[in-house]
Amino acid sequence: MKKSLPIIIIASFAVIAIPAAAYSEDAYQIVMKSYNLDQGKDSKTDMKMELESKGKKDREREITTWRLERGDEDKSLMYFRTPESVRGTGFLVWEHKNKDDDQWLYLPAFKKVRRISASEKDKSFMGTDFTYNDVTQPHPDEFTHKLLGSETAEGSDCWKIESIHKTFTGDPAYKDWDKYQYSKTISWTRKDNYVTVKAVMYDKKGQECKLFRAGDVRKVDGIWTAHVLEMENIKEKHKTILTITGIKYNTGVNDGFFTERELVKPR
Amino acid sequence: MSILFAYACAPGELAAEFNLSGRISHDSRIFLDKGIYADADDSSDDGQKGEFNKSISRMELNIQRVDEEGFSMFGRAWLTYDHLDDFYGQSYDDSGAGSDSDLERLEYEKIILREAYAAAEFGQFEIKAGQMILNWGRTDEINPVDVVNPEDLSEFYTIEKMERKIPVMLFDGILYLGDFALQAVWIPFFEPAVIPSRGPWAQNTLLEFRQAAPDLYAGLDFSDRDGAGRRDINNSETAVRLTGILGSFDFGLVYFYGYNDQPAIKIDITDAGNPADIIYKKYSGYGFDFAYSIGGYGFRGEFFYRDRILYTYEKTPPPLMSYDNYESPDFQGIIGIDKTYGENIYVNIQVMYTRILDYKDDMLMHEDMIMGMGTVEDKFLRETLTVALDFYYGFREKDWMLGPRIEYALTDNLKAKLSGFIVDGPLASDLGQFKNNDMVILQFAYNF
Repeated sequence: MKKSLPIIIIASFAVIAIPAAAYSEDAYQIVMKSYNLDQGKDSKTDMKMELESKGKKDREREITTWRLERGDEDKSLMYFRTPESVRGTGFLVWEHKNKDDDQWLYLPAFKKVRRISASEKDKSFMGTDFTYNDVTQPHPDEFTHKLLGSETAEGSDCWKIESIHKTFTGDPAYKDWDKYQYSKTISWTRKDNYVTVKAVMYDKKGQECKLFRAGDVRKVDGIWTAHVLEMENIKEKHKTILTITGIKYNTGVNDGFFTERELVKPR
Repeated sequence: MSILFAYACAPGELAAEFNLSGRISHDSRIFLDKGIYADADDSSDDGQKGEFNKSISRMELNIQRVDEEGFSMFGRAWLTYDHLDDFYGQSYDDSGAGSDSDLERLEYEKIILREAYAAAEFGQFEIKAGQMILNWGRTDEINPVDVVNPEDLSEFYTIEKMERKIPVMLFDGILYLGDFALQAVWIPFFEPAVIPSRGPWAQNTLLEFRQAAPDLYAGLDFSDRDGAGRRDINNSETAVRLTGILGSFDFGLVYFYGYNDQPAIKIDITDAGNPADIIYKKYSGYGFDFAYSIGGYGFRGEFFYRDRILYTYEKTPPPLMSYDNYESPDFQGIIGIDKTYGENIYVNIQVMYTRILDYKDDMLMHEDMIMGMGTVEDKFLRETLTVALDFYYGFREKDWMLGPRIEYALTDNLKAKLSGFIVDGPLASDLGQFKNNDMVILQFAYNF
C-alpha cells in the first residue's frame, strides 16, 4: 500500500519479491502484509524536513503532500512551503506498475513544468538524504527477498528481512536495467503491526551507506502511522529527519487533483 | 493593484490574508575585455579602450493572496539600482540615449511593476487578467513556441531568461479537461523586444549602420514603440495553446497571430521624408512541442513555423546605401536529450535548426543555421554547491560561447553565484560579434 510520503518511504524499505522457495514465501508474506497495510484510499500530510550535518541542524523545509491510491497507478503531489527560496516548488508523480513512473517538477521561478526522467530517481531528493527512489516506491516484484530471523529494533520485536533488487541477482528480465541504487536492504518489520521501523541500505559496492529509522508509531484514524522518519547517510554523517505535523486519511481527494493544474497552483 | 488592496487592510489582517515574500540581489559584472570595437579599425569611434563595469542591485517584492474560493491575486515589483562605471565611450542607459565622452558614470534607479494580475477559477475554467509573464515550451533556454512575452536583450543572454522577459498586459483563459488544457491568450497591446542600439551588446549590423550613416541612425528611435501600434487595440495579438499528456508523452500545440517582436529596418536615403524606419510585422505561427522520457533519458523538442517574417537585404550598396526587406516564411526547431549520470552529474544537449524557407541570395541572413548547446552540471554538498558549464556552438560560423558557473547556497535563503561569459568566433557571427565582451558576473541573492 502506498499513501503519504512517510508511508512510501517505509514501504520502500519493506521491498518485496516473488519467492522461489518456501523459506522465501514466509518473507514474502511478511513484506506483503507490510506493503498492504491499510493506509486509507488517500491522504494529506504536512511535515517538517530537517537536515542535520554531524549532529548540527543546517537546513529545514516544510512540505505538504497528497497521495491517492489507484491500484495500478498511484499518484502523489508534493508542495514545498518553506524556505522561501523553494516555496511553491511542486513534485507530481504517477507511479506505474509495469513501466517507468511519470514525474514532473514545477519550479515557480521558471513558471514551467518539467518532466523528469526516471534515471534521476537515484538522485538526492531536494538535497535531502532521501532519493527519488526513497520517496516513490519501486515495484515489489523488482526485488528478491529473504527472512533472516527475528530481532528487536526500535524497541519492538521485528522480523529481519533481506531484500535485493533484481538488477543485482542476474535476473534476465532486468539485464537492460540500470543498477538499482542499493545493492541490498536489510529491514526490520514489527511483528505486531507490520510497520517497518528500521532499514540499513548497502551501496553498489556492498558497503553500508544509509540507515533508516521510523519512530513515534501510533494510530491515526485507525491507521498505523510513523510520525518521525530519519534517513542517515552513514558515510557522510548527514541525516534528514521528517516529522509529521499533521496527517489526514481518506480526504476524498480525487484523480483530477494530481494534474499539472494543481502542480502549478499557488497555495 | 494587489499592493493597493493590501494597504487597505489592517496589518494583522494583511499578514493573515496575504503572503509577502521577496528577494534582494546584487549582481556585479566586470568586462575582462576591451569592448565591442576592440578589433575594429576605427579609432575615431567610441569604446575601444576601457573596461566596462556594471552592477545591479535589486529588491524584488511579491505579494500573493489565494482564497479557498479559487480567487487569487499576485503582484511582483522590482526596485532596481543600476550602476555603470568606467565605460569609455557611449553612455548606456535604458532610454537608449547616448553620448560620446571618455568616461561615463551612470547611476539610476527604477521601479518596475513586473507582474500584477488577478485569477479566478470556475470549475474546469480558469481566467487571469493583468500584467503577466508566461513561459511556454519544454526545451531549455531557447523556446521557439514561447511567443507571449518579448525579451529585453540589453544584456544579451547574460541575464537569466525569466528576468529577460518583458511582462505584457494580457487576458488568459484556460479550460482544463482531464490531462488536457486549452489555453487562449489575448494581448491587447503589442510590446516589442528591447534591442540594444548602443553599448556593448548592440548587434554588429546596427553598429555598422551607425558608423556608416550616423545621422540616419540618430533618427531611429528604438525606444519609441508607438509606431508599431503598441497602444492600438487593432494591433492586438492572440495565442492559443493546447497541452496534454498521452501516456509518457507530454505535448503542446501552439497557434499565434501577432507581431515578430524583433524589428526589421528599412533604409532609403533617397526618401527624404522617411529615410530610415523600424518595422514590426504580423505573422501567423504554428508550433508543436513535446517531452518524453524513457530508460532514464529525457527527450524534448519544439518546432515553430512562421508564415511571413521580414528578412533584410542590401538594396543599394554604400554610399547610396539602402536596405529593404523580403517576406518569407521560416522555421525553427530544437530537440534535446538529457540524462543524469551517477548521483548528480546532469548532461543536457540540444540542437537548434533555423531555416528561411523562401530564401533569396541577397538576404543578409544565412539561409539556415545549426547551433548546438547544452549544459553539464554536477552538485555537491547536499545540492548546496553547483558547478556547471553552459555551452553554445554555431556549426556554420564556428562561433562559440562558454558559460562556467559556480553556485553555493550559504543558507536556505542566501545564495552566491560566480559565473563567466566567454565568447569567440568571427566578428560577423551571432556570438563572435561579442567576442570582446568576455565577462565575470558575481551575484548574491537573499530570499525572504
